[in-house]
Amino acid sequence: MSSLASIRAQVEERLSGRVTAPFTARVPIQQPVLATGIPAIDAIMGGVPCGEITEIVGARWCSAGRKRLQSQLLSVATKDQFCALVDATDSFDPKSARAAGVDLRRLLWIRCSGQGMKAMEQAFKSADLLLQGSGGFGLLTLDLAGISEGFVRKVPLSTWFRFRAVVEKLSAPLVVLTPYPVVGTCCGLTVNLSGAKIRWSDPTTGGPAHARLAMGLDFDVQVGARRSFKKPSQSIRSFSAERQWA
Amino acid sequence: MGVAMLFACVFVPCFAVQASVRCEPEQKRLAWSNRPVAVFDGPDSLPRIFACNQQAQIAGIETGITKARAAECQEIVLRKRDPKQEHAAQAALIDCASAFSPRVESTAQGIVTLDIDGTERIFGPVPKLLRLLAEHASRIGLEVNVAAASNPDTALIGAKGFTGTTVIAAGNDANAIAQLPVDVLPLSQAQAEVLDSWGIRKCRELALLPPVPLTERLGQAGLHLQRLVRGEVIRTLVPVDPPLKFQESLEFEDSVEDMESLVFVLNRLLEQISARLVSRSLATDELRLTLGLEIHEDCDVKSNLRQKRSEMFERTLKLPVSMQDTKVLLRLLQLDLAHHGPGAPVKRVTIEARPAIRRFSQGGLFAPLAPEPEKLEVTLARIRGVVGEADEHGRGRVGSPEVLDSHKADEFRMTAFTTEEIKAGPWQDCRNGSITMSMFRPLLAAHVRCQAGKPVHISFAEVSSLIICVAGPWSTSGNWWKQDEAWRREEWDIAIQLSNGVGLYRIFRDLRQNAWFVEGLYD
Repeated sequence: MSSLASIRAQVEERLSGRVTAPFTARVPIQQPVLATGIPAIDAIMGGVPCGEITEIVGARWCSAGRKRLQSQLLSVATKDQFCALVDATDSFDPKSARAAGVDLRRLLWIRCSGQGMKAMEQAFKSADLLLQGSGGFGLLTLDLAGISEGFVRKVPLSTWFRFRAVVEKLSAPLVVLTPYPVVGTCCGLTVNLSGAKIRWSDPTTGGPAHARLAMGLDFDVQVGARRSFKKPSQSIRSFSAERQWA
Repeated sequence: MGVAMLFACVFVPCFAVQASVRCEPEQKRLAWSNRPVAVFDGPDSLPRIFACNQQAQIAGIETGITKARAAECQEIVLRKRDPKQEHAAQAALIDCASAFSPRVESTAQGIVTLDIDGTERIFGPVPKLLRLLAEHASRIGLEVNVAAASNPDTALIGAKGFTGTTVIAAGNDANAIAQLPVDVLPLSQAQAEVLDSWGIRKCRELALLPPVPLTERLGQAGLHLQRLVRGEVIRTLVPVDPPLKFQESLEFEDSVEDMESLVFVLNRLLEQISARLVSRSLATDELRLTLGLEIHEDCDVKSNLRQKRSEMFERTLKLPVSMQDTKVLLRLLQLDLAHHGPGAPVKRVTIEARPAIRRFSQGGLFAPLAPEPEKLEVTLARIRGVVGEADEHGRGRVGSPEVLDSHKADEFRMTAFTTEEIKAGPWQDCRNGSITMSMFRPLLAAHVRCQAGKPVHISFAEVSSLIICVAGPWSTSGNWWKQDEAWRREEWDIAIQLSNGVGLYRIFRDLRQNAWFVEGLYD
């Protein structure tokens, strides 16, 4: 025991000046996160990391749960902060977002006009101005979910690098909704959404249509990659969305 | 002897000249400061010099001579008299004085008198207050003489007679102004000629005349003049309370076509307005810019005269928060004009600011983090330039959404986004985990095939698929009493199987047009 202590002392002596504490366990830096409020997601990653880009990926024409997750994040963030949403395809629905708990008075909604590449250009210019021009937002969201995959792929990686460099100086997360993973290595977290299952009030197809209601949707979520942690979680979990009257 | 000073008078020498050049850009004003400047007025056929500065007087320019004769003087700057500018300068002078005292009298054009009794605790001793007054007036573009005395008339005579700041101690009024020429008194032409014939040149000489013979020859007016130079006139100050109107204007000699030149002038006008707002401890929440345009129209080539038509171009900037920062206001005006230019040479610029209470914000530990309003407003103005002002329904493209109380789908309006403290709103039935919709704006036209009254196949945009499950229909209608806004529809929820998942859509059939549309995707 004494020899172990002496060896330790010798090592510490040799490394003094180069390594501060060679035998002290390094405490990982706790990065602040914005909790999503969805237990299935928070259990995996705690929330979306602040000062980083989070990418929420879901197929374009499918019910994947992107808007459900976006509304959930906005409802959490607008409780005590101001948020900004750059909407490339002008697809945000204030009525259902309000029903989901989003405080619309604390939301800055930028509705881009045009279609395809024009809409995307407007969205990126607006996001750039917002990021460069004024801090102070608790959450910044760039919604490209309705843009076709071909156009989103054309965004140069340098754009995401520039965004990452700016976001790192902010204390807010930048959440990007895309139909295809495009942010690449600039992304702090990738959330893949898929596999919606519709819950009908009457699952049998033979019943009368007017007596049937879509009661809710169940989505699958998978954390694709996370820069802050060594081992990305690959487990697939699910969360749901309910009709308000259900 | 420490005696309290009660009144201060601010006098603007060559008021018409100073009012004419105060809104010019700084560089031009500096260049003109050592040059003869004269203001002309009268009919276009024979304009005459109305007022001129000291350099012009030295150069031999006198009031009343024709413009053509004055123009013979080398380096002279001739400006057309503008009563609006004089009115604005007087208003600015009153605003300047109001920053130091609540009791301000607009004595005459270019003269204001203020009650400064009891202001020592705020502004310090009287000489310091006078210096501050002169500096403040300089910021609004007016070089003034300021004098303080125990009565308003002595203060006025002191301000007219002495350059810079002067303090006349109480009881020493007559001695202090004794050496001043009688020109500083409000003399009529006849009185001036009589006094001149008597050899009375200075105030002291007038003060020493026997009162009774003076009254016999010049009447009560003559006695009043003598009491003025003796410092014996006591009158009550008549404070003014003019309506708060912050308007500045400038007319160009030659119309301006490029934005850069216009911005110089806008900056100067905004500086003036901002200084006046600061004097009143106010800010603005609305800027109205009016540009007088000079439009040349095509005309008959046989006619020598080229037809000119003047039109007004107006832009109104509504600010969500009150502000007084010149740079921010100028940037907002610039951004607005960049997207909504006048489209013609500008002859006249007028800016009016609606006064508003200044915004006081105190940072709190529990106050939400918010963007800086001034910076945010500039950023939003830039973004509006990118995405546009409003959509085809007239709803803004940048702001906060507000859901309208309507049964019609997708009914909302956009309000200005502010970071002001938000009070608790009306109770809303909201539930975490509620299903959210992704809307299609504009609506996607769809081709739907039905069997037994139910949709079985749908094609829209890039999608063409069999419908695997359907719920509905739900009929809704509204605004039937309005011909143009009436709507009637039949809504369905449909599920379709796609290659990479399932899509649950809200579709509807417009019963008035008998056409199918896809409204949104449950996402």
